[in-house]
Amino acid sequence: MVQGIDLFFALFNNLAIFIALVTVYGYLLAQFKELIWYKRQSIFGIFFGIFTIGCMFAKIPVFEGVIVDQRNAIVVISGVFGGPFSAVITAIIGGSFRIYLGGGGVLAGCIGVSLSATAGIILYKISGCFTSIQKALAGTLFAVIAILPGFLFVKDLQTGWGLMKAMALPYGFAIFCGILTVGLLLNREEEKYYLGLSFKESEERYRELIEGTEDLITTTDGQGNFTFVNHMAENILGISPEQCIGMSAFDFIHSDDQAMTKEWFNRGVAQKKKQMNLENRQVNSMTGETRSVYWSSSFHYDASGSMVGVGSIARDITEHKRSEEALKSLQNLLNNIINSMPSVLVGVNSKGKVIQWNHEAEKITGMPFEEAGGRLLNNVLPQMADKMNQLFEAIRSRKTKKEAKVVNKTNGDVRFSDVTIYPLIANGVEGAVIRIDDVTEHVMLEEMMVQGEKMLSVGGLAAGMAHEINNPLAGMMQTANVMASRLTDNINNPANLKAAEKAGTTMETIKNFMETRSIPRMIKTINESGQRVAEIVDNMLSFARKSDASISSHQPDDLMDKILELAATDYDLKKQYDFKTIEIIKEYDDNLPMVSCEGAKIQQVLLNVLRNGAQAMQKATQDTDGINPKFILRLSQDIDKNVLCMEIEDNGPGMDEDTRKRVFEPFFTTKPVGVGTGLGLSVSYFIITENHGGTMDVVSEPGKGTTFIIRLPLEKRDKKE
Amino acid sequence: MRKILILDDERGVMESFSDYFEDRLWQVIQSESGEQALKLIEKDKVDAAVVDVRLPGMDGNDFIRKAYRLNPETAFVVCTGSPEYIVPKDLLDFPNVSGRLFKKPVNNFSEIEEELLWIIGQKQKNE
Repeated sequence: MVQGIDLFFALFNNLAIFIALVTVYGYLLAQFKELIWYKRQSIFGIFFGIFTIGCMFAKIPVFEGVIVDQRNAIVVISGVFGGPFSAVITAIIGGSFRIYLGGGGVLAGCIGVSLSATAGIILYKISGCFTSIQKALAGTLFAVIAILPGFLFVKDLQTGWGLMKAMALPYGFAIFCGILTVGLLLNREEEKYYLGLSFKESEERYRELIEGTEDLITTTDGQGNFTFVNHMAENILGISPEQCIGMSAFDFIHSDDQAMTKEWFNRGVAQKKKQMNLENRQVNSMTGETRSVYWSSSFHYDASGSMVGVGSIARDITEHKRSEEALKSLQNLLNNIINSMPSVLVGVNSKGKVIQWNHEAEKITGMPFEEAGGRLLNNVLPQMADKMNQLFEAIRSRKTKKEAKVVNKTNGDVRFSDVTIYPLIANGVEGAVIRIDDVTEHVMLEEMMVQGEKMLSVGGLAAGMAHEINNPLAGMMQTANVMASRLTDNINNPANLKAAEKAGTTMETIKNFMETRSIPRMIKTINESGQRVAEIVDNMLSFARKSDASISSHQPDDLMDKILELAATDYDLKKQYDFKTIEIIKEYDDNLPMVSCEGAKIQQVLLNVLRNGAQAMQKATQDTDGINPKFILRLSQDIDKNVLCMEIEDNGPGMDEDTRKRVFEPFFTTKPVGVGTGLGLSVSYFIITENHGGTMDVVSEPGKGTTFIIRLPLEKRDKKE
Repeated sequence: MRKILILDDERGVMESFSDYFEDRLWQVIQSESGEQALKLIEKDKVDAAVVDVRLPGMDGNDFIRKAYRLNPETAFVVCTGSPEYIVPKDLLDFPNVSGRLFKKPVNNFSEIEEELLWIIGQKQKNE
């Protein structure tokens, strides 16, 4: 019988079996850890069971029929590391073999195995009981105390008690050492296993990231030579990752970007930057293709602060840039279209704030988008000042609103505009576009057409009137002519002589009588007055004649003289204004060429200028009572420019710069409301510039009179001849 | 003695022409309408005619067309107060219709007389 210290060491010898167990366990763990729990626990249970049998072959008899070994330690371990099911299987295998061995200790042996299994299961439930020495010591102590009562079942209780007391120290301590050592070893195996597993996992994850990405990932040493490049090297740099190793990262940079990139790198190093970003172009060394990439680099330094390497991720942004450029050029195109529009185009959001502002809008408001953007529309666009309600109404109802000929006065300048509000109705965008067209010219043209129509109807009326006047006038004048012929020029004609004789007198007597009574003078007066009526009618006609009388050749001095005659009939009784009080000085060049024009229209212009001048001078005369009103009319030919110059100069009050600039503007008038339409000179300007291709200018200074200069081209005439 | 027709609905005009031509020793026939004038010259051929355009009923142009058919020898002069009037093309084609248009009021009767005598003279030369 073995007892005491010998027993302890005898039991300790069983450790050889434990070493085998630990080695095989590591292998089993790697093989079966992933299996479903009952399969895994069965395998572990059987494996631990086999080792219990091994232990029982190295049996140590301690009492008659009683053997001790490390089987209970293995059953505990089986429970702790294999699991409850594994503990049960190991216990059954171990118990069965003990029963097979037979002897007086069978019962105690079986109970010992059962107690071991129970202790193992309990320790299993307290997970991680071998992860630290303290826990392992406590757990093992518990297991040993749980196992020892097995000896009580040897023979009778008294024998058992004695045996247990004898076994407690050597056996208990041996078991204790066995469980503790194996438990710690197995725990280390397990930890190794899990460490390996997680290492593999993390490695896999990194590989997936690096190999799966479409970004170029590189590491370089402190000099910028590649130490690692991922598979994207093939695409972007043109060579395999292996070939890249050792090459300078700068070799693949587009020559135009080299300097910039080096500067960036050096700056990062100098400033000890940890993170730097850069956009540059990389050249594929095989195909020469250039890709734009965005680098995100982390700079690494050693303890002394010198650069040891750079880890970088480069994203290929070529497509992104391309689409960005396409988008930009589309944007430019759209902006160009919007800006080249002759209309004011302004976009607003649903709150009425400016979000788009084209060039025309900048032009008319003198406000750049930077200033107008984000502000309320009525604050930046005077045409919209009182139209905000309509704007919101249009946005709300999604219906276009249009208003024509909106009057807008700025600095006394009247402009007309058509204002259209288009609500934005595309995919959920809230807002509107306001379009404003300056239609002042149209309105002016319309007014001029109306004026023209009026003049045409006046012309028609004048023509009809002329016929009605001419007939009785002819009756009167022609009769007076015959009278003059009979009584003065041709007084001795046979019919006269015959009539005189019949009346008992002589023609001589009659002649004397008439001359005494001034009859010939009276007849002459009738003739002259009639002649004047005829001329007025004639002039009125040539002025009012329909414009389709078209272009013909006119003598400039003739045009001027005729209109002077007509102007001379112009007077206003109420204002005691009479054209005839104005002194006329004519400075006509000799040999003036004929000019092709619509005589009536040119006369209309001249009359307008004369009338304006006359009225201005008359007003000045009334005011100052000093100057004698005077017109100087000049006609000359500018041979160089091949134009005919017609100048009408007055000595009126003249006008200031502001007025002078605007005299040809439609609706501009210095006359009181209702007196002038503000159209006369603008129509004149239109006739000279548009109808005749000439120019019309005005020279004036306050107090120095006014000169209108009309230049008519002479080319047409030259071609004809 | 030469015969002349004065066709004008304005009596003062008609009479002044008549008086002038009578003083110039023409035999004058007066008429205030084209229809009446046609009847008159049908019986009594005239050497010359001074014709107004705007007349009640038949206008001066039509009168000349018809009168020409009656007697192609007659010399015609048109005299009108209408500012817009131009002698129609077909009338100008007649050799004895004057291309000169005389506007009322006529200041110088002798111009009309000379024109008429010139046309008559041309006719006679051709014959």
